[in-house]
Amino acid sequence: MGELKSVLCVDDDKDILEVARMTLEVVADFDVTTCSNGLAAIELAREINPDLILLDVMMPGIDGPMTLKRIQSDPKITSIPVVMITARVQHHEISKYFDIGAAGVIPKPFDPMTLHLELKAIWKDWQVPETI
Amino acid sequence: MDAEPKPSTSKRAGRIKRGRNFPRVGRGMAIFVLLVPLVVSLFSWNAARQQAEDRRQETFDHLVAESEAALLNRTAAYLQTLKAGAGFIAGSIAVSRPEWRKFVDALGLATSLPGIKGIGVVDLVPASRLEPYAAEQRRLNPSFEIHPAAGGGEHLVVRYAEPEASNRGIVGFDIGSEDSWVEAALLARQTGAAALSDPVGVGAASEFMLLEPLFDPRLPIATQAERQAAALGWLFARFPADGYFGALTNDPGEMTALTVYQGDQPNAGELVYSSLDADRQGTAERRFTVTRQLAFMQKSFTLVWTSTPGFEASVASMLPELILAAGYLFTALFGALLMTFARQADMVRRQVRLKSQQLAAGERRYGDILAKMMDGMVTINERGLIESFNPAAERLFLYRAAEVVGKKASMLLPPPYRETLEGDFRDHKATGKAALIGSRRELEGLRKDGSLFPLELSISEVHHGERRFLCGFIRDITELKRMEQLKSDFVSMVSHELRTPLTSIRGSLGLIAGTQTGALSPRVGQLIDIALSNSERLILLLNDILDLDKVASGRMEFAYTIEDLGKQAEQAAIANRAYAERYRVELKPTQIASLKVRIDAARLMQVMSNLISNAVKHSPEGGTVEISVARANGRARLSVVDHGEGIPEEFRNRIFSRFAQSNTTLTRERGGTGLGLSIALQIVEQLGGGIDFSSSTGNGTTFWVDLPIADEAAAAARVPAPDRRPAVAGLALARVLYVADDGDFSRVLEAALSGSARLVTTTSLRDAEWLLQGEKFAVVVADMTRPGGLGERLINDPQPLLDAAEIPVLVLAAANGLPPLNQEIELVLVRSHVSVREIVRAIAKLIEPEAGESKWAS
Repeated sequence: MGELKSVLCVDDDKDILEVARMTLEVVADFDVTTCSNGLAAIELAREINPDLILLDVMMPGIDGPMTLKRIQSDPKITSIPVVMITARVQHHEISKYFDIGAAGVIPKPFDPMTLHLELKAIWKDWQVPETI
Repeated sequence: MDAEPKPSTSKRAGRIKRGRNFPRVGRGMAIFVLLVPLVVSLFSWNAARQQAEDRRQETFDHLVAESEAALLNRTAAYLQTLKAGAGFIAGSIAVSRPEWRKFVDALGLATSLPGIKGIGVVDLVPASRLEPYAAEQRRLNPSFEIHPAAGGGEHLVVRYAEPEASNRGIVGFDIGSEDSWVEAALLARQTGAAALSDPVGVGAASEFMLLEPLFDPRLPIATQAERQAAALGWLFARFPADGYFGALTNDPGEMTALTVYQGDQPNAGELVYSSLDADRQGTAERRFTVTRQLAFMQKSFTLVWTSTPGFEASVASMLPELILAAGYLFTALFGALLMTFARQADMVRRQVRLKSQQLAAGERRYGDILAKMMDGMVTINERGLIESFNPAAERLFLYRAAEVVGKKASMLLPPPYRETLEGDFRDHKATGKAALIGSRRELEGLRKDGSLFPLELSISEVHHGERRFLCGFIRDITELKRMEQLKSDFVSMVSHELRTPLTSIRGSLGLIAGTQTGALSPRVGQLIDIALSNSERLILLLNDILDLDKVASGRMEFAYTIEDLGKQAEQAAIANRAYAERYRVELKPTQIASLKVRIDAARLMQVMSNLISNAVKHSPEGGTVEISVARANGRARLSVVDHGEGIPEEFRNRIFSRFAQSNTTLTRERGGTGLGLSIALQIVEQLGGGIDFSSSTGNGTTFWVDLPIADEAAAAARVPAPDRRPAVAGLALARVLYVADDGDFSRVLEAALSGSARLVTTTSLRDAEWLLQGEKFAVVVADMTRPGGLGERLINDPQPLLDAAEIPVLVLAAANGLPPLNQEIELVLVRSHVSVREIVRAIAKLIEPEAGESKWAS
């Protein structure tokens, strides 16, 4: 299936977006596209078809879970794994995102040096065939 | 007796008032009650007196009758004597004087007729024969002489009179000279019957003469004329009044006095006889008097008997006075008794009033407290019925006390709690014990309008005399809950809001430190490291604050599994080795025993990491931190020992408080949130264990955690206590047993299953067998990814699974190590080919084959 190469980062906080972009570009040499809201994320995803979407939960307008739902219902991009990135890091909050179909959850603040490893692991898990 | 009301324990004012009114009734009653014996004794006295008087009168009448009879007897005796004399004379008219004397002697006058002074014969002598008669008599008796010399046609001359001594002067006396005698003599002759003369003389010396006519026996005496013609003379008896009337009865006590008057009236002028002294005659007003008119010997007398002081003394009766005295005495004693009773009653009444007032005051105070109490208070009897309901409870439940008293207390709770409470009441009634007593629990209350509100209920048992009842205190915790929620929301919000800028800071710093080290001067690099470590510390602080909030509010969920504490300790040592090495401290597991504990592995890891990092922080460079697991006091003890400076004395008693940090150089240098031990304490307590430490200044500190050993803990879990009810939704979740050689994948799986099922991880076949026997699992997941590992052994020797044949088994296999197909295995997934999501879906299908996947991740 190849390697994880392109990531779409979505966050309303420009600083975080920049740190994430730099982290993934510098450390992992990913192709990183960024945008700051859910609607733009869906548009971009349809346009560039990234390998993975890193999606912030709390955003103005349509938030992370709602964006996820739209991605899931869009046949063109439904197979792209979506990893939620959130400051709400409590156990029940994290499991909630798994419940609605997130491929993984990255708590904020993240370690910039290992973020790409986590994303790779999640991406790999996502790629395996569902059942024998 | 006084109807004193019983000292009532009732506190009602009305009863007290009635008690207060009572004395007036009592006084009237007492007087009435005293009057009764007094009147009765007076009445008895009067009756007794009357009776005594009647008896005296009777006695007196009897004495009078005796006296009267004696007088009549005496009169009859006199008459008899005269008649005898008359017979003697009539037989021989010429009876001689000696013969007469002999006759009189024979009569024995002195003894048989003591009143008679003399008895004799009077001859009727015509004037013409007076001389011869006198001569004849002188011949017989020379001293005989008729005297006094009197004229007239007839002379009545006393021929004989005996006894001679007392009658010497009267022989020869012509009684014609004494009018009263003549009168009586003539009356006797006329009537032919004895007649009594008027008394001659005065007083005691006065003398009566009784005359019996003598007729010639040969002549008829039918008419007065014939009697006059046949008259020969008279027999007479003379006697003094006192001789006749005195000494009538044998009356030694002189009970009666007799006064005799002539005629039909007691005229003083006609007084004939009185037994009284002259000076007392007529003057003494005697108590008893009987007056009789008697006629005898042709004369009438008035006899007056009077009682003497002697009589009165002899028949005086003390009885009425005794009765009266006894009555007075009784009344007085009774009065005294009444007064004593009254005083006692008064005392009792005063006591009762005092006690009632105290009781009422106490009750009022108690009532005030109850009324003003913020908490609802409901007392419940043994049958689970409400007995009292204070105003605060009224406000909480919107019921008036009157509406709920006597009804089931469980009506105040909505259904799930209602049955629980009723069950508790039944337990309590049957055994005297119940889970709810003495405990404090959070429930929901049901108001009258059907709305619910959160409440905290604590129930205590109260014994009152023989009775026991339950006292429930209810606190509305709506506000508390709201505040808790607000606080949690705030903590969560702050944590989140701080996290966002921290993400940029930490990300930037991490990126610089990780990628740009070569481009930085050593000084800048050092500063970047400081900024990075402090931003990390800030993150830890945020995590701790969140944890503390959760664990303190009881909202931290625990996923219990049976684990080997020794292994957990070794894992903790490994996990913290990197941290320790940063401070050049060696982590040294010593004495690691294998002890099973039932814990939430992640939470225990948090505790152990905290203790290890604390120990590292307080160790000098090059020092060691020892970790050991051993059995202590029947529990499994994990110890973490450092050889640092020890905990300062003044800090020891607040070491488990929040934000407690000792002010030492090392701590400042190495950081810490000050919340770790507080969180550790709460977690360990949740796990049913304890945490403590010992420290000596300069020699280091030992922290230890004691946990129940799993055998006991599991035994407790297998026999659930009656009060353990599925209050937490998580407990109702299906359980999935995960059998694997290591717990790494279990955490991934646990997070993915979270909210849908509970994952129990075990790393030993024996535990798996034991768990399957003791608890009910919906699915068993066997991890066979490691060749020759636990999962494989379980599938090859499925003894534990046979005990639980109905449980579906899911095998996670390695791509090159598919298990032999057998009946126990429901499904095989190649772990490297499926996502966690797929595994979760597969488990969901095994748990609920028919149910859709809506509940599960899709």
